[in-house]
Amino acid sequence: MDQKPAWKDDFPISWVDDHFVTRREFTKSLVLVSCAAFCANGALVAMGALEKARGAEKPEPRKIGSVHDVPVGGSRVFEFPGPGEPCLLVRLDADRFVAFAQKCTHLGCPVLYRKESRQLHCPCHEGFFNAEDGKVIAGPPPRPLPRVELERKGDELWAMAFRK
Amino acid sequence: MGYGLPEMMPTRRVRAERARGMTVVYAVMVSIMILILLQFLLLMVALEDFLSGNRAVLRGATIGSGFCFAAACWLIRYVSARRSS
Repeated sequence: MDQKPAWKDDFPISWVDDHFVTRREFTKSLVLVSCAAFCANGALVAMGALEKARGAEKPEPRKIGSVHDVPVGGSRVFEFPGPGEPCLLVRLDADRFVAFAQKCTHLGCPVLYRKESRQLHCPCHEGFFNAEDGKVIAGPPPRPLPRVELERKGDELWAMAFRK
Repeated sequence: MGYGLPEMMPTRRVRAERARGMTVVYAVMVSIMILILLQFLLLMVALEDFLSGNRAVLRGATIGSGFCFAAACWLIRYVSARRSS
């Protein structure tokens, strides 16, 4: 029952020796971790530069829907200037629409509209923005939300650009 | 029995040199660990800066991280050179 299998003679691997890591090998692997951290930092810089270059281009105006799509006091998410860049359209009154980038200026969590207080709320770190102008009311966000300029063409709503 | 420095036995000398070598390896290991901790701190700062869209310290953090990586490379080269000599 306790016989040694034949493959052990053919492939005499010592698992103890195989899994043994010397101090020098461990130190070398630490340098690889250091390299990975540096590369991650570099990737962030590259992504930041790419985003900056994309932001400098003038966005194409985009139809975001009809005025009837959003009830008074309601909100709706749309993508502007391109896919993967969510914005929030809010209907404050029957004739008043405002839109802001949905990414919180603190750490990029999506903000949500609170009808009862007319505020935009970031649930991640309790940031509050004024829904009228996007200014910070409370919480850790350092800057107001970027505002999207809207244009009404009949019953259609168009996002034109980000207000500077 | 005379005066002056006591002569060290060859086996004791070898053992002492090995112990000194191990001390250097441990010192390098701890130094690299501290550098990595610093790099993670810088990465955290850079990530927070990137997510907030501020980008004020992103480049600085990357340059700092690069210095840490260069220092880690120098330390590992120092250990390797010591071993080969």
